[in-house]
Amino acid sequence: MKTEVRVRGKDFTGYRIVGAIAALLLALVFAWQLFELFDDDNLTVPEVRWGAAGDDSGVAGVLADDLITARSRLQDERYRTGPAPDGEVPANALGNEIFLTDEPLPRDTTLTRSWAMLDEDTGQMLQERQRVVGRSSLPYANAELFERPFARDWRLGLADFATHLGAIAIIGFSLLLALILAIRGRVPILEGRAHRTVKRFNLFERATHWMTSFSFIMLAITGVSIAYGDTLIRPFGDELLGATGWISTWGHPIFAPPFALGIVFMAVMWTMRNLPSRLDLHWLSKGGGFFSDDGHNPPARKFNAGQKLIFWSAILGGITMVLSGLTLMFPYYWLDLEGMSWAMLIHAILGVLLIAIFIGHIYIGTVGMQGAFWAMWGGNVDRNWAKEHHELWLAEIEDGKQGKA
Amino acid sequence: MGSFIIGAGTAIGLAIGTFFVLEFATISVIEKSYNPSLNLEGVHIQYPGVERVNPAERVAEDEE
Ligand code: HEM
Repeated sequence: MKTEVRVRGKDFTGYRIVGAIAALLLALVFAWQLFELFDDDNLTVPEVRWGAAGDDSGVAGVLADDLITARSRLQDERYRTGPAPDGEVPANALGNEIFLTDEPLPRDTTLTRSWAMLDEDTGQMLQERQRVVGRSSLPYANAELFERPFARDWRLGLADFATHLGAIAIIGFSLLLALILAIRGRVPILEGRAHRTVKRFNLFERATHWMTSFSFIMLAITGVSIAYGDTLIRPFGDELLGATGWISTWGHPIFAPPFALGIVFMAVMWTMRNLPSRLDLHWLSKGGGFFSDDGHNPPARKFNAGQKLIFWSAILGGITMVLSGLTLMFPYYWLDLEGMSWAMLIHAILGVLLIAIFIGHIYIGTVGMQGAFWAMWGGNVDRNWAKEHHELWLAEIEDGKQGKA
Repeated sequence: MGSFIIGAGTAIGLAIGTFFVLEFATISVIEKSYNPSLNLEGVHIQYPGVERVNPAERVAEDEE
């Protein structure tokens, strides 16, 4: 299609300056994240003295060991006799005056016995990446959660993949988008606006989109503050972390129903138009025509290949998130410990991925492309926008109208 | 604009509804559970004798 180029991406100077500033800030955060990733903090160093009050033996922790043993014995007894608080409370083996303390540890003092004298087992245990199989005598069904070999992989998965690589994915992708905005500018309506509009989405479609996206954003914000609260919120105070933690743990599950409902509506409304077709390969091979202003955008029907990918991420990703999230809300109802660990890993990793993907979608739906936003806001798009980005769809509806007339 | 208000409003409405449902369900499940004051993950089921742990509560019930 012959297009006369009147507007170029580089013409959006204001947007490009904002993009450059955002890129600069994001680059700093990105560098900090990379540093964190390679920062060697594999060894957990104790910060408090863990011992028994009144322990003068010089080797802190010796008495504490005995105390823990006595406690376990007590709990074991409780376990066997049943929870009977009316009965006699068995005496603490070391007497009831001795209790555990956790005073702050003065630097370079003797640690608890196992810290101070590393034998082969404890030495390994302190090494993040090595496994130690543990066993628990506590009358608590999930205590071994912390000691199974798989629990170590699970912890590594959460801490390294979901948390660090997740942050890197989100920040890195945002950085990339900011750079694109700074260098390339917006994807323009090359011919300028026609000031004639075409109907693109009806009210129901738009309301569904906003219900889903509003819920998604609430889920993302509360989810991020659950996952990264320690890094992002704690610096502003423990009190604030507590408050946001409470709000988030409630706010997160309650937005699941509107999100799930929106996913179902979207699937019903848009699946037929998002089935893959031959056109998509051509569109993808041309990068959607997004990176040049030469007026040769690859043709597309109502949804181009990029939008189809967004659609299927929302549907398949959304369903997986809802199902794994429900599983986390009803722990051990239909999965065992191993299954729960996987549910948690999947929920966390997919969650950060979806956030990164939809940051891209929100970018292209707002600042990234001139004229796109109005499709979802008011339902109408400029005819030249439709012609440049969805020429086959435009032809389809205009032929349809002529056919009817 | 209208579509956004309808969509976001429905989302908030459903979320608030879910909040009350969840809260109600959580509380009533805990109240109905065998032994509300002990979180022993089912250990109590092995000891059918222990129903009410709080002696004060037991007195109140006897008087009814
Ligand atoms: C502030 C946030 C958002 C904005 C401004 C926005 C904007 C848009 C716009 C303008 C369109 C229509 C594109 C067109 O005309 O073809 C669209 C479509 C769509 N949006 Fe969003 N969106 C947002 C958030 C979300 C979120 C969070 C989701 C997913 C849960 C989502 C899912 C979709 C889907 C599936 C489509 C149809 C396929 C497509 O066009 O890519 N949107 N959005």
